[in-house]
Amino acid sequence: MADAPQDDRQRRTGILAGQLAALGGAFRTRLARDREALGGEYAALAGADVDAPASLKRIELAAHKLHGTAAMFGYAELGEAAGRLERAAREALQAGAGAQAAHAALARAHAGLATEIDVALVAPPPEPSIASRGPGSPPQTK
Amino acid sequence: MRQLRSVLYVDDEPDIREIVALALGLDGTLAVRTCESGVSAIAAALERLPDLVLLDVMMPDLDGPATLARFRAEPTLASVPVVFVTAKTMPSELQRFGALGAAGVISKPFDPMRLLEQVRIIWERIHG
Repeated sequence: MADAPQDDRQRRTGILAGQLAALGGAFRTRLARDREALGGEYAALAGADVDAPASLKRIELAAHKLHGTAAMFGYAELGEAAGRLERAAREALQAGAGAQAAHAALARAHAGLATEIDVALVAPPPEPSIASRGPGSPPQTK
Repeated sequence: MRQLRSVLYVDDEPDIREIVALALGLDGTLAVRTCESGVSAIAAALERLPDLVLLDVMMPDLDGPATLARFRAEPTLASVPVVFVTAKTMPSELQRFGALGAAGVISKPFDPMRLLEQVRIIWERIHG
């Protein structure tokens, strides 16, 4: 009986890990869409007729979502790369950067995230963040 | 101390909504509802008052802070504690959330297995 709470926790961990693994498949599908959408937004900044603040805001939001989500599916480095793009977009917004300047400012962070997504899409699916850890461990981030 | 029985989680990310519903609902003691926007959260909260609201910060249209302001302006919802769940955890951002009246902040990415514990700690701090 003394082990009942631990058994229950392990059972819950198992259920959650299974659910996260299932959601991870959908997350990978979404990654491909996000890469395309972010690439389109970023490429548009190089054009002449783009609303730079609106485009930067969309890039910031999309990167922010990946930043908050990726590590939970085992993609910690991708999450960090998304965080860098989010920050770069926010800083360009706050600086009032025009489209060309924003395009240049985001180049490194965008390329970094695109690379991480490419790696994630070709690599075997990682285990969700809770699957390989004991209960109570902190989230895995680098 | 008043027991935490119901939580409303608001996030435009369907993956995160599903994870949170699973993580908070697994021990069977909490009624968990989720909403995809600030506007739908206000309607859901008015329909059935939650004990606690967990709110994403960056959402299209009505973002987290704007949603919190709407909650505070609505007499029925004004006293419902709101906790931000966000990747925005710079000190200046945390100060801003506190000034807006947030009862706490949970960082993204969070550990799903610890989420319920984090929520209960915040609840105890509010009502302790």
